[in-house]
Amino acid sequence: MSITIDVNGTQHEVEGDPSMPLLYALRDQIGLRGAKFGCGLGQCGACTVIVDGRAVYSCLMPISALEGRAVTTTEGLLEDGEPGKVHRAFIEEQAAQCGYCIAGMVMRAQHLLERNPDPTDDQILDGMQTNLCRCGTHAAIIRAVKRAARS
Amino acid sequence: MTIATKTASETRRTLTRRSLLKGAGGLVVAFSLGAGRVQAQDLPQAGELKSVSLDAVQSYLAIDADGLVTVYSGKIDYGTGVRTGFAQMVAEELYVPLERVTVIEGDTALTPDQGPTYGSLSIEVGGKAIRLAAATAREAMLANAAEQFGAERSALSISDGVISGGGQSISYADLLKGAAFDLDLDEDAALKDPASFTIVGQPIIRDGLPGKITGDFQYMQDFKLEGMVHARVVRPPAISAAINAVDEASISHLKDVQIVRKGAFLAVVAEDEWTAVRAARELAVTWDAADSLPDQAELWEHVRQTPIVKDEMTSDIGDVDAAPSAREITATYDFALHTHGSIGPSCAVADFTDGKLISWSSSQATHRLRRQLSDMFGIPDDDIRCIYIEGAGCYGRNGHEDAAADAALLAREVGRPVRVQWMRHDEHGWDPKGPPTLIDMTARFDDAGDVSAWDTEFFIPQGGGGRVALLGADLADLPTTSELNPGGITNDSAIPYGFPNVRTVCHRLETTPLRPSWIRAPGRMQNTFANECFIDEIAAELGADPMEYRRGLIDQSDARGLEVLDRLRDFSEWEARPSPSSGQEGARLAGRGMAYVKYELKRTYVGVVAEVTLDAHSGAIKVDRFHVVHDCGQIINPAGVRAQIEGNVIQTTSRTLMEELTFDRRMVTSLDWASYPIMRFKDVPEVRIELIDRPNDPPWGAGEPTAVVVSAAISNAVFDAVGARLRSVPFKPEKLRAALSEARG
Amino acid sequence: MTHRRLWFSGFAVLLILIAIAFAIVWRPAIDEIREGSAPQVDAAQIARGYELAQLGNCESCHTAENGAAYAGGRKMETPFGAIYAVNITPDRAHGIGAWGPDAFARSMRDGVSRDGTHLYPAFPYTHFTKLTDSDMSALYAYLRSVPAVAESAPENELPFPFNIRALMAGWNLLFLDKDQITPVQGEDDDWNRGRYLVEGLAHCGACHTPRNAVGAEKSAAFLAGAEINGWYAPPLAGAEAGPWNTEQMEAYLANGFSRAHGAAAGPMGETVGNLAQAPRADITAMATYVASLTEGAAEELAAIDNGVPEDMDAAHTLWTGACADCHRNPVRDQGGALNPSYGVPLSTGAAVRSSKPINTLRTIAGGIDAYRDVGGPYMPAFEDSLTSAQIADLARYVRARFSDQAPWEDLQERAQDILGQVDPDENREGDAQ
Ligand code: FES
Ligand code: FES
Repeated sequence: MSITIDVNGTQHEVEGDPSMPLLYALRDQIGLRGAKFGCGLGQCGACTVIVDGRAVYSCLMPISALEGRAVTTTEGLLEDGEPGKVHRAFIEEQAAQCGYCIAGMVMRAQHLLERNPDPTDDQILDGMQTNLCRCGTHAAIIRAVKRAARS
Repeated sequence: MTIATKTASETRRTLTRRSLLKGAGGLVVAFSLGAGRVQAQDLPQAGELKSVSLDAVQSYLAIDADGLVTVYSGKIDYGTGVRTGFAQMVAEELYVPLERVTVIEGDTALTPDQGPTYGSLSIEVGGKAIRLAAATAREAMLANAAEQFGAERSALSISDGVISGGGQSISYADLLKGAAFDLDLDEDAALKDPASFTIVGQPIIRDGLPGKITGDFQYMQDFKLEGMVHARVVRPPAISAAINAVDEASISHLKDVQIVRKGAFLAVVAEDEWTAVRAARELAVTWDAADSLPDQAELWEHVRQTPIVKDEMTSDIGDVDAAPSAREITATYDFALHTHGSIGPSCAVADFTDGKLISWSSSQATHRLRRQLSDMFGIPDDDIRCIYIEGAGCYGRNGHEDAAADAALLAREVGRPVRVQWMRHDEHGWDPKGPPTLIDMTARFDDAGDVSAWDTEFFIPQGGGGRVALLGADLADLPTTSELNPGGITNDSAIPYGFPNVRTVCHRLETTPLRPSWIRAPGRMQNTFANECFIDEIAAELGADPMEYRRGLIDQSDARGLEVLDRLRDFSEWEARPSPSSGQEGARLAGRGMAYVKYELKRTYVGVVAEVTLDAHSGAIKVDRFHVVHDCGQIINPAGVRAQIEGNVIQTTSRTLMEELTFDRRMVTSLDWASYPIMRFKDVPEVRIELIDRPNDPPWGAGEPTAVVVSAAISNAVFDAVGARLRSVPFKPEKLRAALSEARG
Repeated sequence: MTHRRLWFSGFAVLLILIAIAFAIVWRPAIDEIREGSAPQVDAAQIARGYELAQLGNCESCHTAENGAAYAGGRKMETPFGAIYAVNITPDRAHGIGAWGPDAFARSMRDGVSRDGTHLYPAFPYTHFTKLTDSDMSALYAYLRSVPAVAESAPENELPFPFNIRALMAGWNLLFLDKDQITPVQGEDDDWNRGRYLVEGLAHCGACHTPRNAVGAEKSAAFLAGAEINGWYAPPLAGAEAGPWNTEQMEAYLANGFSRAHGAAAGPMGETVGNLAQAPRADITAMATYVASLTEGAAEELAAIDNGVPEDMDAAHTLWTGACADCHRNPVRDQGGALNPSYGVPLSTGAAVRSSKPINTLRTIAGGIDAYRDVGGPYMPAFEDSLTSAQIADLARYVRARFSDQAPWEDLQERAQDILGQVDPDENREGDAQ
């Protein structure tokens, strides 16, 4: 079965089992590696992407549910191949240790800022709360989200 | 003096960037991501391309015909920034811009065996050798240029990789013409004066960081080979289990799935990843499973009862038994089993062709892994090449080596390159764990009320920081080592405090419930927790200010230790008084507590103050703030050091407050993030850091040393707030409630 | 009788009626206590009060989302309009700082505020009226110890005539039963203690008992299950309930999870979060009493898997990609390690067996998040990734596959209600059918 998915503004034909979660389509077929496999259970957020303006766990998003919907990954936030606003804020704050959680964090932050361009500290904590980081990069991530909101 | 004996065309032992690219397929990985099909039998083995011996400069360093510098490091980077640190050190010693330096890590064919990456020793030990190699090379090139110029060595200067003097100049590239260094490491090579450093000491953005954020960075989990198939391992429902029956028909609806079965090792292999995931999930298997674990409810009894194979005395000062004992206090501390909890489960790719194996993994000990794979498959070391690719962070040894073994076994069985990605339950369930630690403490006081003896016993597994049995080999009944390997967990059992009689005994236990492994500051964390809490108990017993009390007990000639404590007092605005605090009302209580370590009694100094607020009704503890004063000698990259400190505090706060692995009689039951929660954004403490930089001293490890003081500082702060002592990690609310009702009597 | 006398008599009767009505309606204000004059209480009493407050779930209702504890502001939708919980912190101006113990006790027992105005029974004083004096004092002591917050709750949104508080006097006359709970001979201490808590402080009936047209709990249908705040509080008593045994109920109340019944979600998830702080003995007592109300043997239900239902390929595809990794094939789960969020056989879950679909729909949409940091059950929310039609489809699928109950009606409409929106893209909804 083949399904057409709009990823970062480009239409992609995805082949395979329609139950296949978007995560595997992105990583194995479309060739993007920003979204990560962390748990496959909707618990960690490493796979977070934006679908039609909402942050979702791509590990639990069957491609059958995606026909005609628009997907954005961290690669889609690049501006002319250069880091976008949220990217830049994370880079300037050096907000990554191993970095495995970070592409998901970037998407969560992007989603938060799209809905609320001027979040309070509590709103940032609340907005980022779903995503896990094991390296303890949280403080740097929060600084990055604040920086992105300010810029 | 000859620094480069032969040119590239003359010998394989020389190295150019081109030959690297052409000849060494594996290296393509390091340069251009997402390499094409690589044949294992084409791959050069250790020593074929270049030396990997520990004393040759070329083992660590090459400069190609374009002047690009390649560093070969046996120590690897998990995002901690050591790769960047090495590049900084080499760029500094060679007077070249940082951009011109590339680091290759953990490739058994190319990098020297500098031992596994652990103990925050990468910069301290690994970096030292690399820096020496660069200095040796530079000095040799200078001497060589002086000879060519007919000038005095002292008249030469270097800028941007170009040596000038006496009106002449020559670049490294032109001097070497792509040849390899044929030099031994000179232990006495002149090192650049730190006062003139321009790269070391700068807060350089860590290598790879921007790509991690934009999605461009290639992790192990992203690595692909052409023709590769995807595998998932189907683990048994018990540590001790045998396959009873596999119902192949249960997955007949899935396309082209191969079931691989060897002993109790069971896996599915498919062309695409999702099919493999489904096959592993849907395959109906029945197992004969047996109980092999103790009852977790009786864990500490079990630990106490485990046979002791030997006692190691880590300090024995005076005579504890003969010390005056007008009275004594005793306490027992324990520290739960923890899991690494890497956010990305372990992953490996292997190609096993014509009896030769190439293994890509995130192993932090590729040289050791090679020996283990050699045992497992009964093939010589030389037929195996292990290549490191950075993966998701782990904090010691998690499942990388096991995934590498799984992949190798499967590649051999199916005759194609295989990628094995562990699922979340594989990682939480099967990676080796931080062992449960039990510590008995006794302090005796003389008639004058002074401490006469410090007498402590640590119940910890036997073994060192060596190899851990490979899961796949174990299940498949292939040879593998079966030693316990908890790491150097006797470290920091001895104390930096000068009591007249001190005895610290480590009872090394025959077994431990789950495969042990080093997880971030193994042993040191548990031992320091007990020591730094107990010293606080003594201070409270004596009505002394905990900071002042410690300060008076450390070696008064240890100026660095004294400075850390003094700066900590000022930095944290410490109010000198005994704990617990008095006069607080209501259920919300605030406290502050400190802890101090001189890491392994010989390196990095850290002092911390934790500030907590707690709810005496619910028992919930919120860590509001940490103040950290940190002396790791020379600081290579302050941004990296700060990030390490911050990360270590936050992660260890999580471990201290909430983490506890659970198991039943058969296996681990905390198989996901819901059953093994870790700290999330709202609970993260603020971390305030003061770095002490000592540019003229050797650089010591940063990272783990901060982790070890976190649990004690929190416990001491809780005691300060409510007068109840938490001696059992994690400090879950019910434990504080219990401690409170005990304290109230 | 002259005309005039008749008139007088009529007037007198009217006056008497007014007086009676007034007597019924009117409650005197109780004087404010002077600043700093609250009775001295000891720490043990506060600690006991804290435990009682957990059993009474006070904080959940009296705290707005992300708001300060007990500062009120949480909105409660009732059939009569929206009511906001008030600030019960010891702030004198905005909370109950000026209330003495008698004013507090009167509000709890009679539903009358310190100033004499009537409260609405969204505040379950019909249950709290059963509290013993000592429990009342401990609760008062505890509430005086929480941090004062200077914030007022928003005004209630009640249309006429429900905005006339005096009407509640009549309501109370009809529905407020102030009899104390007396121990039942022949039942053990746990059972009696459990009954006291369940019918009193824990006010289980406030959610689990259906209400009549004027919002009073139907005493004849005690704990028979009711829809409230968009969830279905399932029956705890009678033939439709359970079956529960004490151990299952205790595990459920203490940890939010019983393998035989599933996880506590929605408002019950919050309640469990509070109960977890209460003394275990009280939980055991409540479990003992509640389990005694169900009929039949409380055996574990056998797991049901009817296989993939016909004509539900699209839903099966969703299930396979989005659900199956957690709710795996029970065959595999038997041998292996068990934990609440991993490998739950759905067929034993109360939500899937329930006569009403809303808990299943809500759980798919909103997930289960209450225990995220304490190691309890967890489920991610799908409201941001799936459409209401897809969620309805999944509900239909799990009902058909994992229960022996009749299909649910109106799934699509209810799912749309729950997502609070009509999907902009109708085609997309069509595709998922
Ligand atoms: S991988 Fe999707 S939430 Fe963890
Ligand atoms: S940076 Fe490693 S998991 Fe977040």
